[in-house]
Amino acid sequence: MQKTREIKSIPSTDRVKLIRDRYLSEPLFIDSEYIKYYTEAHAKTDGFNVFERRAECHSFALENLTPFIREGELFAGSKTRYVRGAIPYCNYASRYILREFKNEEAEAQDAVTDIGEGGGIAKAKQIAEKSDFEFFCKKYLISKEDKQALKDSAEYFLGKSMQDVGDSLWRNIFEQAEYIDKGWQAGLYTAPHDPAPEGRYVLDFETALTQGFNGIIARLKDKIKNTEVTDFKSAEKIYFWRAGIRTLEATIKWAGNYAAKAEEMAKTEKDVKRKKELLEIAKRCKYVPANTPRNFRDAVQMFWFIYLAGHIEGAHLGYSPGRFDRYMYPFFKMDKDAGTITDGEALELLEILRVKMTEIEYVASFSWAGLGSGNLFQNMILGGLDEKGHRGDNALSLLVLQSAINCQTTQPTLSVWYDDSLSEEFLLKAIDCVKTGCGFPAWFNMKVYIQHELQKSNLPVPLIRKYAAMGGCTEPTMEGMSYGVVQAGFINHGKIFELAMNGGKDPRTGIQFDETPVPQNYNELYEAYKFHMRNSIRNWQRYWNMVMSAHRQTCNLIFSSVLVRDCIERGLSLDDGGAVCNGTPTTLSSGMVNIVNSLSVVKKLVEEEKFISMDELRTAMNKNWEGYEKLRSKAIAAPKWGNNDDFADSIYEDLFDTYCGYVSGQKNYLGEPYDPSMLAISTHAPFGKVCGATPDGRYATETLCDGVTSPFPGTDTHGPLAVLHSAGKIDHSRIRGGLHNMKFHPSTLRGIQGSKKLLSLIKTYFDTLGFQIQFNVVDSEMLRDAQQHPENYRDLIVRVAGFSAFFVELGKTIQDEIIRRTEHDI
Amino acid sequence: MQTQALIFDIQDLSVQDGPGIRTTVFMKGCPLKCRWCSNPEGQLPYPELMHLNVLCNRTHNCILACPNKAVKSDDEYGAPVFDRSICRNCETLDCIESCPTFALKVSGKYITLEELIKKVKPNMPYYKNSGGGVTFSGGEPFLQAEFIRKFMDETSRFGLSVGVETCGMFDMDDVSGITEKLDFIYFDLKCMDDEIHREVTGSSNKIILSNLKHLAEKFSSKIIISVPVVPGVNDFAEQIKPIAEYCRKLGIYKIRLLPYHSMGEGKYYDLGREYKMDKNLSVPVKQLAVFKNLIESSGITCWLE
Repeated sequence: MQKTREIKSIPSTDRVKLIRDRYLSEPLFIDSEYIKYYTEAHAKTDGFNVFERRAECHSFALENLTPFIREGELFAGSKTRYVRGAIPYCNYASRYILREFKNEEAEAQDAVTDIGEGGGIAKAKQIAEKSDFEFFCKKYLISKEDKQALKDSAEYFLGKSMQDVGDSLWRNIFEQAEYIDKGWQAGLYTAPHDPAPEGRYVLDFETALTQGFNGIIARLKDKIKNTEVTDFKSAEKIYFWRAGIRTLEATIKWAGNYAAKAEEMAKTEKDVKRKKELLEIAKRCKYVPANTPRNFRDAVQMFWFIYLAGHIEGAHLGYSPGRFDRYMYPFFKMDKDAGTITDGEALELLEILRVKMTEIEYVASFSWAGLGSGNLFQNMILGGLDEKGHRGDNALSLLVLQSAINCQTTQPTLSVWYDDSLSEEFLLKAIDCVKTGCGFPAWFNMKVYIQHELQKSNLPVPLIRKYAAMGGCTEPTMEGMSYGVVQAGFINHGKIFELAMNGGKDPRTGIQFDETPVPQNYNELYEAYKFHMRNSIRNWQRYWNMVMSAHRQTCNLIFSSVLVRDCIERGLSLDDGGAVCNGTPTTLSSGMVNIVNSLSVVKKLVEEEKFISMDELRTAMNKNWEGYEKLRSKAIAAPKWGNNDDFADSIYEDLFDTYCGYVSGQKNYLGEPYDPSMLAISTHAPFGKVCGATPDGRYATETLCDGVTSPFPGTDTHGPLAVLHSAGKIDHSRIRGGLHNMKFHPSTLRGIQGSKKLLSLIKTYFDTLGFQIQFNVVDSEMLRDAQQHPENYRDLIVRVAGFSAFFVELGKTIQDEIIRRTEHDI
Repeated sequence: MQTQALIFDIQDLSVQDGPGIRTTVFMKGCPLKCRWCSNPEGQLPYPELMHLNVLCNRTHNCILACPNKAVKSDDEYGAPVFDRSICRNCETLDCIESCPTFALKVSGKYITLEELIKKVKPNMPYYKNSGGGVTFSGGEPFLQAEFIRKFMDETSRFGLSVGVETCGMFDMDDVSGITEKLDFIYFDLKCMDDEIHREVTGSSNKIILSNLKHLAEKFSSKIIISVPVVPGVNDFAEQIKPIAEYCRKLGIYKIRLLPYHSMGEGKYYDLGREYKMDKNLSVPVKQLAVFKNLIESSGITCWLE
């Protein structure tokens, strides 16, 4: 159903519509083909050097994948045999898969994680009921044959997977091993992240597109030729380079398989036009990625092969295409100048690319699938600056935005590197995209990131300007020159707070962590909080470093290594520190805003007003506010983060500083300090579910705050500008990432005046050195949700011709009227 | 005495209340009682209790909490009913604090000059970048003209832009010295026919028209006329055309049309009042386009909101 909105979204051609609709009607599949071949090669390569073994396994599997070209596609390449297929990477972790076979609950937290039941998942259930496929892992279909192959692989990798090798290390030598287990049981941490740990970086597409794989292979061969082996270190370099060549050649061969497939399909194709398209695809797949693209169509095909091959090599989340509008623009411009491509033709390719990127699925333990909402966090960032500091947007940037307006798919997420010098046309087009209600682009402040990267890595400013990109949802990275494996997972601030309140004991499970004095006043509480925060961070980081030490010998990325600077020059893989930047791994946490608000309540009601004692407050929490309604009203009335009130904001500032200090106090697995970051993705819901009531007025099991600097729903009573003043108080240059959600009803942003106001808002927030902001322009669906859950939408204002009201306060019939109007563009 | 104003809301990011990012201050109290008014909580010049029926969970805590026994249960639906003749609107806030679902609130609070300035001053970078500022709306803001005057004296030092939305019913002497400094004035004009005006707003339009004339003599360029297009009141050419002609005579060249809608209805019940309009009425889009053309044929810029 097409909703009528100010900005309409319709695929630009019937072809795109066909491809998009095909995606939308497909269920999810697990495809064991890759892992079957991978396992086969692994069994044959015992005793190989670790680089060569990894390269051989991946390359052998890649070369043997069945090529699939689907109706309408203009460039080739599919991760699996299915439109929506996921590869189960047993080489990373296999126990959770075997557990699925035993129909066990995958993780202790699974009981509290909701995964979507709609769309493709519902359809998968239907199909499983009446076909040869089975329903598996709570959301996928799998064929009987694949199921056996998966079981074989999973069993083969017992004791050999990254998780098993890593676990055997930390479980044996880490004196805090028990703490980690307790953390999982209590919900202090998200479930182990081993099934999909890669991501958060961007390949060096620019070099690949300008040198071709043949050029890179020549460089590697040159390196081998010119290196004399004198010790094991120089020998390791040779192994690494040889492994790199193996993966690049396999990728060329894999592309060749697509060429052969296209030729074969062309032979039987009756439609003359399609036949011609298939032959063109064949020609192109023979040419790239070995050679450099001759035109934009070649470049799109080559980009897709590189991107996909990297995606296939590892179990990725947050693996991203980076500054696509910068490195692809020369090819687009060349064609435009020569008159060999129209905007419409380029747009069609870009729209198809959106669907292709959305088609990539992943399988992980049940908990993580729920947390990530099935989202792969592929982030394409536009605009920004060039190396001289001039605006980075161009004609291709506009088309990428238009493709997202026309073809609304969940991936890739778009972002804008904001700078005042960006063209107004580009900025207004980006606002148009926001107005479609898709939630993106998200806006990032270039200025703040440059400050962060300078402090962190001291890279030259021109380099930062040109290659600053986004690796994952909201974490910046340096395109083509950094490695940022997804960190261990998230830390739950809500749980830390409960430990602090209760002497280190988790009230839900009764599990005792490090014992601390039961606090009797604000200072004792704050000190206990800091103690448990520090402990949980430090243990989590050390645990993950030990897991990652197993990564090198089990899952070292070879293809990605030769496509990240300066691995080739240094002769070092990513795991050996070959990348230019090794400081990108972050430590993540969510829910801090609830804690700031809770501390503020304690400071106000216990310390200042002496309205209640700490013991009484603890009782109220344990009773989930029952019988303490008046106290809860007072708690809700106490100062909260997001109102430009220093009483609460200063607590946030202090806690934020403390958090950053603790995180960067520990070195990461590449030998540099961990970088602090705060996100939420969907952790706030399951984290909330395992937490009891908190003094901020939150009831037990209620969700935690969904952002880093956005206020908890209903607590920002002083309007959106006050929220931004609060958010602007912290030093965003200290963290890698950040998240600030704002909700608007479309009536607030109507017309060009509304667009310009939103732009002024972004600009001013960034003038105050805010880092990130994104907007939810609510649609009728969200308003219906607001009817069901008014507590999450208390701040949503509706303004229509002189009328002004909070949505949730309106009567049902009027709410329905507004929903009707929202569907029809107020 | 401290300078303070009675307001019922402050909103940032208003789109319809003037250029740029604006903070709209809704002043409480209005001399007119327009039947279609969609912000009825802005009419009476004192704080009022609102019972937000949609959020009410029928806990009846408020019935127990009220010290004046002004709340009773509606037998049919179990909803609390507030006897407004007993309710003190409320000095103790007991009923509000007792409600677990926040279904009760007082609309209207006193804000001091200092408080308002403290609230809007940090927004200056946002106003500056967008060409925005503060708009006083209501209710009728000029009923509290002294507050606005002092506010403008204080804020002119940091260059704040201020505009006003007025129903036109005020004492010209009260606003002298203010109007000069305003950046714009949205001035409501409902209809030229005095008899109809009396019937639907409770007041004659004589003072309104005279005020408009006086203002237009000096500031015609910063006046924008707001015409609520209300079915049965002025939704015909015979009512719209004279408005356009009168504006042109006064040298005012901007008119915005605000079509009637019934979204304010619920607030009447929340305030314990009766909604006298027929909520099923609406003005067809085509008809609005006709009015727009009619107005523009007089050489006036016209837009719909």
